[in-house]
Amino acid sequence: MTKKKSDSNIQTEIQQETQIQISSKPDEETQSISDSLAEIRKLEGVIGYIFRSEMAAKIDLNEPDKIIEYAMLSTELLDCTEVIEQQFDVGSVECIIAEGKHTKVLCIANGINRISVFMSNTCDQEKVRQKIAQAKMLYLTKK
Amino acid sequence: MMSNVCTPAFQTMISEIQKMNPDITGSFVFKENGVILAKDGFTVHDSAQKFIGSFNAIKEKSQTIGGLHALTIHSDYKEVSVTSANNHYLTMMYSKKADKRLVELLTKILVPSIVKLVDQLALKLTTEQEILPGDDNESLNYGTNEVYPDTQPGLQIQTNDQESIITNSKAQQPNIESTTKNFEKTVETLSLQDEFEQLDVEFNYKPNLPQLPENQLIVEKLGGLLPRPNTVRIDKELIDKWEDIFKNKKIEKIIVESLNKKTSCKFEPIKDPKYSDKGLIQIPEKIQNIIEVTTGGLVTIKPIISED
Repeated sequence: MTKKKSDSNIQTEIQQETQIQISSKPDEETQSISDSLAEIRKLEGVIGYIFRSEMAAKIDLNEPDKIIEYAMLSTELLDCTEVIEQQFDVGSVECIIAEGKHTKVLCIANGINRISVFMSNTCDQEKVRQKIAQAKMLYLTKK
Repeated sequence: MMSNVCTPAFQTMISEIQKMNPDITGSFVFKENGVILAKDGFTVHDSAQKFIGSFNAIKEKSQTIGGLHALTIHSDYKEVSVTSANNHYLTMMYSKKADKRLVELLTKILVPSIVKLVDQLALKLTTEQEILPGDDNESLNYGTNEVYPDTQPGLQIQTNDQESIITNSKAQQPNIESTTKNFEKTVETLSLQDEFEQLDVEFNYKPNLPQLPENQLIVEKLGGLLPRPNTVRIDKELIDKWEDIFKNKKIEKIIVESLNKKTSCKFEPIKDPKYSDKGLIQIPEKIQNIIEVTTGGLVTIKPIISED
């Protein structure tokens, strides 16, 4: 396991002992989404994001001391999507948005990739969604 | 007890929302403690409970974003939204083609306003009940424009062409003799006796029993090794309240009524603290079958009063 750390940007790359080959070339998709998230990060009101894929995790948050709290919330939200899919006849969940007093979080389970973008309540989550969707589209087009 | 007061209001609210927008394919209201207060016909109780469990888990972890005020889920062909107001949560499922503005108007403005209002009313009602037990049963129905001042409680004066029911809740204790005397005195005072005779007046005396209180409760199965097949279990608080209202009266049975059927049965307080004070009624399977209701359904109960 290698770990790079800076003040406001923590990037974690996890190399698992057993390498899993995924036919859909997740590295390219991951890179495409990662680039898109870097762009999203620059948007006004975006506090940060957590991006987890099968092979890597990337966290970029304004408040690095709250990483664990943000990560736990993100996990619960993504777990909730599974409950909804199982319990209600809604099809596959595209995204979940949790709104707090001052902050909201947009979680997207995109195949093996798990994306959580944290932003202020005034920020337009649709714009963020579109950018992530565009990244996916770009990857599919390349493929 | 507040949940009991609120439940019919929320049930009505959900029905109206459904009527308003047929694209809404499921909705339910639940409290912070996970109790479902009202749900529509599309919502399965168990599924809703599992969702609430998951929602509460998110809520626990949401301090970092300043609590959980709303949750929206976009899926392939439906959207789910949870909005909160005064520790009550409304979950709505609607198709993607639903009018988003209308849904937003309902979930973010109208429903929270109703919830707050219902909550305030319930709180007021509960406070009043605590101060004056039985006052909530007061019914004032003057039927016509005529008002009989100083008329005594519990009198129903029926004439050929008019009916006036005048009740006064200040004297809640039924006392046949004194009421009859008071009534005669009142009629004399008002010098109406002759007029009534001319009009072929019927004096129908009814003892001044408070109006039977109705409570809407959520059904839970009464299990255990040997549950009494003809006995339901309800909150002790509710039984105490009845005893308070109907002093010197025996309440041995209650009427349990579902949407379609009703039956009378014995009752006893809920023994398991897990089920108490949650607006629940534990009904054995036999009675559930009779009144065609299952766990999670709603029933109305009222006491059967018998003379001492």
